[in-house]
Amino acid sequence: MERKRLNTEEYIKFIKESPEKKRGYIFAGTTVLVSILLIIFAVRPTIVTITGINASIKEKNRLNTALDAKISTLNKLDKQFQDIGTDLNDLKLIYPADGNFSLLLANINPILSRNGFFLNGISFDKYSDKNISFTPKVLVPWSVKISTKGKTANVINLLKDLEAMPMFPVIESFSYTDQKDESGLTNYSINMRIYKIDNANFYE
Amino acid sequence: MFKFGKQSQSIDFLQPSYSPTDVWSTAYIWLTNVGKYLLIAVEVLVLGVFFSRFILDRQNNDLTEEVNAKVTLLSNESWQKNAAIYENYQYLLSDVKTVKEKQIINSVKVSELISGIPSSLHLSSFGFSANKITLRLTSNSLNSIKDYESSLKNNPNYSNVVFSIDKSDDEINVSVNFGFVID
Repeated sequence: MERKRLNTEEYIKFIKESPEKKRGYIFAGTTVLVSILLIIFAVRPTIVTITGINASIKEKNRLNTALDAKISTLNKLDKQFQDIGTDLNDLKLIYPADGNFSLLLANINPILSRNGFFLNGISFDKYSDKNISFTPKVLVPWSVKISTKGKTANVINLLKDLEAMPMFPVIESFSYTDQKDESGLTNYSINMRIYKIDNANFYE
Repeated sequence: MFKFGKQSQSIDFLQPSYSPTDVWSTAYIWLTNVGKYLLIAVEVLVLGVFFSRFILDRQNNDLTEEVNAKVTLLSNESWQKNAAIYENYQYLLSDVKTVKEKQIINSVKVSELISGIPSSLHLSSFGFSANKITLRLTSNSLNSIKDYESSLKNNPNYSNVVFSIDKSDDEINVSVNFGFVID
């Protein structure tokens, strides 16, 4: 078979449009396309998953540190509680959670006697005034009304002694007149704000 | 399948001496020359991603086990009960501190008031409630009452001082109402 002779122009055209070159482009393009598809549909989801796992690890590390801190704090508190447990138990009497003001009653009587006063009556009631400028979280104000009689000269000391009790009571109202009974004693009405806890299981 | 053996006898220098013309041969040639680097790169990337995921998964699982163990420990009834008690005590102690520091002691105020009444005035009744004071006084001297009135009105701790004076026979009855200035 006689080979066809080609001139220069035809050679250049042949090189530019050679079927091998076209096939080369197609293979390169296909490979790049396949690689891109692989990256989009295989590698990218894995990287997304890895990012998710990384975020999860970060969150778990934070949680782990918080749990460590909590366990450590609880251990320290446990030790402190063992050391000062008896003192803390006194709080049950000072700020009762069951409405039992036995310590208050036990303190009031000696204070009255020490100042030469006699207890006429005592009653507890809900606190209805609005004289508190702060908001306690667990302590609830309560009211105790004391009716007593004694000498006017000692009443200031009596009020100071009452306010010095460990439950930090405050004189909310106080009144008296100069009328005296047959013993020469004056009647006084004292209303104090005390505190209790409105949760029976608070200390348990 | 591949036609490697058929080499043309041409002196056309633009054609390589070995130049496959079918699709599979071209693909094979391309793959062994250029594509292999692309494949190696993709393989390296895939292996890197695989191993990093393997390591991260192990770390994640270890952490999950550690966290679960601590949560189990803290979920123990005894620990939960202790935690609740300690929390309650912390709130209570915080309240006690607030009460101790912020509440105003009124016995001092009452003491100042009663001890501030001049001896020339006789206190017949005293009332203190919600920072309001009510006094009933008797006296024979109007000057003493005036002096006491001016001392109360000039005292910056008291406000709205109101004196009501009622004179009957030889005795002067005075009713005094005022309030405490709250800081």
